[in-house]
Amino acid sequence: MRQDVLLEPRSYTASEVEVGESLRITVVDGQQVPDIVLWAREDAGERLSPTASQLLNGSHLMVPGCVLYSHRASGLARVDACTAGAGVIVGGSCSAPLNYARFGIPDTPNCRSNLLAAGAPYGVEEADVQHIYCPFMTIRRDDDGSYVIDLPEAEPGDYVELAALVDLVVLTSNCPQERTPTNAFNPSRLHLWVGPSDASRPTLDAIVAEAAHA
Amino acid sequence: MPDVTLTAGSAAAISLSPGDALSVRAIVAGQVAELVAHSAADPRERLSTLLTGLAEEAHTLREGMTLWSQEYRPLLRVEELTNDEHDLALEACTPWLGRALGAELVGDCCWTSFRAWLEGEGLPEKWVPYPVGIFKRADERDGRYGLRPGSSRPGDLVRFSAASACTVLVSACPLTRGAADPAAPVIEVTWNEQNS
Ligand SMILES: [Zn+2]
Ligand SMILES: [Zn+2]
Repeated sequence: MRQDVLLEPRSYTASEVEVGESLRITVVDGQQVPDIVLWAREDAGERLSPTASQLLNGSHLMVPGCVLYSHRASGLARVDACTAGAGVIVGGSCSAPLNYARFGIPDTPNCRSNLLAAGAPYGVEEADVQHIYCPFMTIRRDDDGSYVIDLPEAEPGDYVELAALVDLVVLTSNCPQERTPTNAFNPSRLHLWVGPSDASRPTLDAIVAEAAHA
Repeated sequence: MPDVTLTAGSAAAISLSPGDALSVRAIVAGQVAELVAHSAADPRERLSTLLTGLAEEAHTLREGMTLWSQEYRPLLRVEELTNDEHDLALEACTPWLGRALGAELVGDCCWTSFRAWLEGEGLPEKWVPYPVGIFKRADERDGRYGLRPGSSRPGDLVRFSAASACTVLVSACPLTRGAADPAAPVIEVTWNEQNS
């Protein structure tokens, strides 16, 4: 097992996932969304492209079986599971300026700051953390032109799992958003696991028991 | 009033001062134009379609809407539009995506033109922004999500005004083209100085 970490509300982590390995993120308390950035470890130019992923899969949402493609249209990871809701993939995360625009409150915790902090050992800049995969998130594009964020569907134990198609760097922010339905107005815990694709995964009971002892 | 006509796969860069107007007009039906804007003060500050969409609660352009940078500073405003089907979600087209989709590309992809301008500013390709996809449409049909022909009719336009000093790049998209002839003018860009 290469990584087994409980992500407290509003926290973040960096992971390296090699070919033959998988990354699983499990919802611990319910209705929580991770914001994920990834790129090929050997070439940061091979970074996640939401648009290439949507158009080459022929799917607006990253459902199981979809490949997450790079900007240069090569496969980075395969979505092996997503047990709740949709797999939103978008050009940006929550940020302090976005939260200020929407709520008039400066300097709020946000995914952009989390992802920059998680990626600091890799020297990332703001432009490096703008291509985001948000499993469990619910976004609606209404016919009247409006753009609406809804409650996520994930319940405790729901998970998303990615298999690495090349060696990857993955940054994960446990989204701190508390003023929209993104995380049901209540940021909560996620669990992140990286290991061989054929290894057994920790169960929710084991994750919760481990958290209680931490 | 200066103007430039673009063939598919070509682009123009226009520096605007606050109050200046800029119009993007389709010459032929179905043509898409991609537009990005960089702050004159620091080109890393750029029009953010994500922040704009969420701050304005809109997934397309609307009259009166402000187009914001990722730092929530206003760059452009939408003054007039004759067509309300535009895209605020997709990235600029790239040669890799075009090839993977089997498209017959002419000239430079929008991403290639935007990157070339950034290189002149000393910035690497990662700073290429998500563009406003003027007349761009993508949706799910027969169970498959994909790009559709542009929403433009000949003469359709979007007129912007500059809210702050910025450079606007407009590329006539070679991936969603309105004319088979690569030499045909497909997009006209017009600008003027309202306040001078
Ligand atoms: Zn967030
Ligand atoms: Zn294009």
